[in-house]
Amino acid sequence: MANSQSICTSFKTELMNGIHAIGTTVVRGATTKDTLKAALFLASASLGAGTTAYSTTGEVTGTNYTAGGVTVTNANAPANSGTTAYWTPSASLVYTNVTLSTAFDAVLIYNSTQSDKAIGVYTFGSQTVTAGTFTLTMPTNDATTGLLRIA
Amino acid sequence: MDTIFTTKGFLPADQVEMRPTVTCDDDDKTVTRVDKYLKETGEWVGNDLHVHMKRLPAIFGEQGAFA
Repeated sequence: MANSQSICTSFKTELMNGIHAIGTTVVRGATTKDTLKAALFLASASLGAGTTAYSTTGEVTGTNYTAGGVTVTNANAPANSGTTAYWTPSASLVYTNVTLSTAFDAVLIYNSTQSDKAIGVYTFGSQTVTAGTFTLTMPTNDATTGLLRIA
Repeated sequence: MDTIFTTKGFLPADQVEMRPTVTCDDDDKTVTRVDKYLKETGEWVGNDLHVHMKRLPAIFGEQGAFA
């Protein structure tokens, strides 16, 4: 046997579970998982890697769309395979019977339990919906395609 | 009876024609726009949208080394 230099795969999964606090952390009120939400943003907005938290600036508005977006269904525990930790929402994100007339092209997934802190921005090209349902189907929850992957 | 939401409210499904068009299909996503028309008149009465997210960028953990 020989030692091999590596970032431990368990650590990657534990990051998603909030186990490690290498910097100053927050006082958590419970051991339950946080509530994540998904909000839609206009194509004219400027979300990206620099986004730190959800804000209504640049968010879509329209019939039957509630500011802040929809709650992410989270029945999947973070897992790992090989050296990659991964997690994916367990159901599609669905915005039902909406009219979103101004072009939008991104969804922000954020942590509404932790002061709306941002997790990821995902783009899908400029779109509009009129009197219809917008469905975002999640990728397969594995180490290759999962929505959040730490490789 | 199944209904479909349109610009005219909920209509019986058998009165509405759904016309799907794949507008983007790449490694990252498939986008399908479904336009809705009244079968009787051909009037456009809205659209649904389906985005299938396939593969998204990963965060890569890079290990430092002792100096």
